[in-house]
Amino acid sequence: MASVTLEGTSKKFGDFIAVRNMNLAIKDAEFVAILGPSGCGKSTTMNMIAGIEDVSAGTIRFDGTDVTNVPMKKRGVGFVFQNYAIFTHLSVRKNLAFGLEVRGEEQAEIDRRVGEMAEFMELSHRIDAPSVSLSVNELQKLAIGRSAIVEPSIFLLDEPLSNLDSAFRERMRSDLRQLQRSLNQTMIYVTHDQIEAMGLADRIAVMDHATLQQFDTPENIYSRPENTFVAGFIGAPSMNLVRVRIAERGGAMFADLAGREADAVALDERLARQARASGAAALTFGFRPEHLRISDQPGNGSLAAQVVLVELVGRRKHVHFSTGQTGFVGSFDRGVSLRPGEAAHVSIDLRKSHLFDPETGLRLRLGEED
Amino acid sequence: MAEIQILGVSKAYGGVPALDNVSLTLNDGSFTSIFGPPGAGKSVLLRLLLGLETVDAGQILIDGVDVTRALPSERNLGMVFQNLALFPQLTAYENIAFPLRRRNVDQTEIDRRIETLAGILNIGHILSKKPAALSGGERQRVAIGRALVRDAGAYLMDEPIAALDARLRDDMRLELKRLQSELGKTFVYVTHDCDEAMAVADQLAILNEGRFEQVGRPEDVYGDPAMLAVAELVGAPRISVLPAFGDNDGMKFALGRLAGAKVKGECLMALRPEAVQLKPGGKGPCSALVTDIERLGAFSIVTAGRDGTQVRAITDGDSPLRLGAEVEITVDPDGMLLFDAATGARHA
Amino acid sequence: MTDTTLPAPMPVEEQATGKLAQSRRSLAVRLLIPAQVLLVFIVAFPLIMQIFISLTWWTPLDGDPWYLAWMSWNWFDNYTYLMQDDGLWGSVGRTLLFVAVAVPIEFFLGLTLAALFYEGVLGRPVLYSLILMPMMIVPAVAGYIFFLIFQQTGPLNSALSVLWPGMLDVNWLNDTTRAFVAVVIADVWQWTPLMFLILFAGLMSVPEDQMRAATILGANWRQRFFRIALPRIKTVIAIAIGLRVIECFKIFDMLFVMTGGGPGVATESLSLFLYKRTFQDLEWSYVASIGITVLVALSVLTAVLMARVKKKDAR
Repeated sequence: MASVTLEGTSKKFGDFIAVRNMNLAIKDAEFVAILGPSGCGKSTTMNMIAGIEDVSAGTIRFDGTDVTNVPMKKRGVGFVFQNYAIFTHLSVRKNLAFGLEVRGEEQAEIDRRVGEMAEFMELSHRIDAPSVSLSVNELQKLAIGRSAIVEPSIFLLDEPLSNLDSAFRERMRSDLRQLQRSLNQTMIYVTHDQIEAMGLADRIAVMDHATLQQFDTPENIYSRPENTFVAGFIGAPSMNLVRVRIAERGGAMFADLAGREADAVALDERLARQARASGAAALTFGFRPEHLRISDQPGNGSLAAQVVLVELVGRRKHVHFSTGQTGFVGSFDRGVSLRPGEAAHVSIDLRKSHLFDPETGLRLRLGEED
Repeated sequence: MAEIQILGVSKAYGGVPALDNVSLTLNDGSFTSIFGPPGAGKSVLLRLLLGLETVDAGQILIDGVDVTRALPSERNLGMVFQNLALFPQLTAYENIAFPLRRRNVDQTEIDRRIETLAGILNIGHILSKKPAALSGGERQRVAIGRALVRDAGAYLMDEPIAALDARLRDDMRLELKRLQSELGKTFVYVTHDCDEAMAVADQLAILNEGRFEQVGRPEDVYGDPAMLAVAELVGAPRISVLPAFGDNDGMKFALGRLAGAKVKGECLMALRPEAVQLKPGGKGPCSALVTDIERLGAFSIVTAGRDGTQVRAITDGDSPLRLGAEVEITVDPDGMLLFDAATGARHA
Repeated sequence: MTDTTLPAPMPVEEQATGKLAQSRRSLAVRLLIPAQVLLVFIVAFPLIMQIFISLTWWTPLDGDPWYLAWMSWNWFDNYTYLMQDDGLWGSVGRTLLFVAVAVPIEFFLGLTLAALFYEGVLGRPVLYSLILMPMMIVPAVAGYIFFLIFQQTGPLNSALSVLWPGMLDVNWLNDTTRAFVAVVIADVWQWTPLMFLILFAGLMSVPEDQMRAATILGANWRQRFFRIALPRIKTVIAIAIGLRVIECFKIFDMLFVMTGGGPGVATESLSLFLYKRTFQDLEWSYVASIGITVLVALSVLTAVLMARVKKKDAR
């Protein structure tokens, strides 16, 4: 069993607050990603879990046992550094064997496990090579293998895939998933790449400016973001967050983009209820680029707009629209034919859209189903 | 203004060829992306263009002038390095001013140029800070500013936005594109991210193992790859490649039969994930079991297969498919690319 | 974001071969010629002069100027003599013994200090400066300080008799063995700080992340030190020991002041031996031949070592 719990954990460097009052309950054998932009405090949080940094306030527990003051050496976690920290003066074999050797394991046992791990990591053919001769991709596998071989129940990885090229990252993502499942460990993974987080994690802890924003499954983070930060951080291109004026006309609720009646989106029942309940005159309307369709007729959630820019990004087209003073982005299949300067009718899937409070950034909801 | 021509350039290190007789023309004012896997020779090519190293064979011409043996300072090229290389003890302003000060440019001129650039790059508010106090994105923009302030003929960039998070990368991509069209200069952009390479470029050059596999417009390289290697390199998620046999009934392969055979006989069939449709149910001429699902919010990557043969497909983010489910596979003919099994050349 | 780049084979920068580069090179050569001429004059001329003299019987006692030394030409008689000179070989042997005793002691003491500072057991900057101080004292002055300390009626004996009452005042500098020990102690005191400095700098260059990785894998300080830190500073250790061996071999001023080579020749190093032959006995041509022999021997040794280092690098 290896659950990890942070209670009120904070870290200050002088006056600078790196991590503010983290409360995080990670379950045994769960794969958790800590996601956030650079400088948000995610690496510091992980360093505190590993014991590399000490805690300024609060506690850290492994399986209920308080480890806040336990030194790094005794925490029994596995740690993969961003730059791998391979023992460059040792061979691949010696690197893998290190954790077992310092524990005083029998040589025969060490050889057996090193051989197994080398196979698992597909490094058998390089096992006696000096570690400096490995490519970046091989180094990453070696770093993981070196930590995994001592079978820690908690495995920490600090942006392990950030040095790799995008083609290899795809492969490593599935390898990591397999590894975690087969070793049944609690894995905590720091990254700024939301694709990685979404693809690997059972739950994602989103951080910004030293604070935890939301800790939830990838599906919920994507479709029910707590606030505008999470909404905007997950998803590429990021969610359109447009300031709208709420108006009631003819019994229906409308969201006027940039306060213009001409650029109004008719709200569906769910959003209309939320808008009425909030009583606010202005809200932030959030809709994802992939939830836009080009339609012929106006209807609920539709809008007339002009195409400003078309970007071909891989298998998708990112289309930048403008209505009067507001701009937003849509993401479509390559087949869509839109040219800059054209007029288009865009319909927004309102079932997947949200309203946010413009001051606090919090998402509006009435009850659990929202 | 600078048209760059690379003619038959080769370079080897210790007998190992890094670039093999490569040629490329970069028109004046164009935005060219050079994309390839690591070790393809992209950085080597940039260093040769800059003049940091000399070619073993071939020529480099800038605006018709042979600069193959010229020193870097004589080539009038700006460069944004992958690791930024900002001077930590200077402020952002001084970092950008550095190349100009070295050429004894007048202070008023320096102020003018930096002001213009700061407006375009949106760094006016951080000019007085030192790199350590800046975020990754701000540092990147300062580094780009330092390269651009020089008013060079052309600008070379080596993975300038690789270290930024997704949203910032999206913004910077657009900004770089806009900058380039405003300045009208030739941009040479090296990256290992294929989506990025396609998004920014007028001209996309695929470099693989020291050779240009294909050069053309991004949409042509993606939709109409000349070689299997190009189809495999360009496109995320990875294209699925399967041996197949085409006859009057369609394309036959390990998982069944797909309609429409543009080519008869043995070949390699490559399927773009976005063209592969999976429907629940095991009937139909082509079917398999779901072996992996990666849910990435906006979309999901579903792998389906049988007995070791696998096909990747893109489905909705909230696709109801489950592991082990039986699915029927159909493929949009536009996303089916057929290649010669022996040479890797494209059939249709 | 940390910018620790991963080790990846980087091609060596090549030199430009264009016309421009060539003209720059010839300019460089032309600018260097005055310095080269000066160097030749300072180095080559005295060397030739020394070789010349070593092949004769000449001493200033003859009354003739040195360029007339050819009159007492003796070919290699000096060289054959030096092969059998017990005085010379005795001093060489004593010097080697001195190096073999003093340098390892300095190394282990220096390494211990460096390790203590590195692990954080010792840390105060004040302590750091104190440790470095002995190195900054002029060796002759240090020699004199120790001369006074090791006096029969000196402070060392007073301190010792407090700890071991009943021990009679020890005679340090007039006993052959104890004088050697005293001199070793003096050298160790003065030069351990140098070892410490070099080794500590070496330890600081060990990447912190690797040490952290080792700790997280469960290594204690001893395992970290011997498996990670020490292997990584092999080159630094070689440099430190090499430096000290060369310097120690030449030891002169400290000995001159402390014992003058005595009692008898118990602490006469090679440098002291040469000094006496040159300035007391005025046997200049003999000393010249010894000098040339040492030069040849060291050159051969260096060439062999360099060849081994080059072979290691090529691997």
